[in-house]
Amino acid sequence: MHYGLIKMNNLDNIWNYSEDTTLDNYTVIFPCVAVGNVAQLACDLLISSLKMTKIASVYSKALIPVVGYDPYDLNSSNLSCSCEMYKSDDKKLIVFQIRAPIVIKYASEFLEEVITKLKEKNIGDMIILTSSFAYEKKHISTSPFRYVSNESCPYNSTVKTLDCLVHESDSDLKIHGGGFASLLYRIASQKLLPCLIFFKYCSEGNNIPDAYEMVEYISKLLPIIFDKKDCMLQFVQPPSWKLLFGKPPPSDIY
Amino acid sequence: MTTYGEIVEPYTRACWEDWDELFEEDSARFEWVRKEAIPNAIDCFIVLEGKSFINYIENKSNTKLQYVDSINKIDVTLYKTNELQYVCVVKDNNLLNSSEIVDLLKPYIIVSKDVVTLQTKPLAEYQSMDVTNEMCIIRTVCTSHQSKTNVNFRKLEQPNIITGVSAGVICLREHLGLCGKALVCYLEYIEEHQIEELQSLLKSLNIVSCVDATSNNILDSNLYI
Repeated sequence: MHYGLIKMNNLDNIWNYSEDTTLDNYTVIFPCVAVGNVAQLACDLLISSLKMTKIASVYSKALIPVVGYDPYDLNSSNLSCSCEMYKSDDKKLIVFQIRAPIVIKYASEFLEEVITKLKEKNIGDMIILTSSFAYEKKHISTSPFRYVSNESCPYNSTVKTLDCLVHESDSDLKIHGGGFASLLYRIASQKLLPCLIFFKYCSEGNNIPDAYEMVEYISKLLPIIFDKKDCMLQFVQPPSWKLLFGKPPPSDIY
Repeated sequence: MTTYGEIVEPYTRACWEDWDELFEEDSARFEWVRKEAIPNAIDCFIVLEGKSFINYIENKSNTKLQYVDSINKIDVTLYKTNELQYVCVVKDNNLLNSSEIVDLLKPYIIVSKDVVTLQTKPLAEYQSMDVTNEMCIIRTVCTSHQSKTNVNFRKLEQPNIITGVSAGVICLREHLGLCGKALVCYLEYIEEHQIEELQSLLKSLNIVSCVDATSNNILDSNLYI
């Protein structure tokens, strides 16, 4: 059942909401397609661990099309597409999942629409997750995590207590390998949305540990995990991660 | 080739376009060459994506396809088999173009009662815990509204996904609350088009008139490619 099929602007995007809901003061977590897909893996972990429910799916020309069955439930016959929105009412949290890169020439228009839609829903603030090339990290002995925040960001005091540093950048914010994070941050700030970029320096490879660490840091910013002691033990990997490194070798090679 | 001392980071699997070197606006937009009128109704709109189908269709005289239109700058051709069935053949394999191609196909997709897409992929990309020696595995991805096309295979298991124009067409139909079915054929040899399952599929979709297992000259020759 589709509530509110909304079309707008030149991209003719379609936002299909599965429930008619307001998101007053919810925090939105938005992943960027970046080095090692760390942000997307972190969002997968959040969605799976918090048993979040899908509330919207977005079709846009700005997104490279991807389709398959629900990656969080192997028995499901519901489709999953390039951009979806998940909600946890308990935590007042919205997590987007972006499963494909955004086409650069449509990026600004699409991301502006995302921010406009979220502001219409009255969200409180946004956390943009991304990653950057490990070789861009200038101070070797420091934490691999960096953040950038605007003045109205509600986490400005909490984030300073964590083991992460402010990202050093000139007036034109750049996060190398970080995808559309800086563009989304700029748009959010222009539209006066409280916003934080949180990223990790890493390399391509097995990026699951990076995602775990990222979620652990987020859980220090947001009250999303009950028991802070064994935080990582409470994370649940989605079943779709089972074959992240390929299928078993064929038996006839032995 | 690298120079001594150079740090070689693995090329990211994520960054399809270079976001760090922004931005030369690419104003090149695709459009239909003949700009044919969109029919009021189509019974079935079929998308064929992948070399195997395309080579087969182009080389065989038993196809029922009549040229309708094509998209400039990229290799996408629209045919019809009769007034009520259209077939779009996608040769362009640049994923960055897929959503724009879908956008051009949108008027046809909206007026169609049913949409079926077929694409081929290398068998190595099929993710499964089951070890199999099959040369051809066919799976489907169906929209919430059931397609009436009577071609039935097992559903595509997670974490497998489909991408490209086929994925875009199915996503669009799902978002519009319309029916559609994607068929994905995982093949051991991606150039191989003599596989009977594929030919039977094309026949059941009324694209070819008979199953023809005769082979292509190059594959039949003694050339080792």
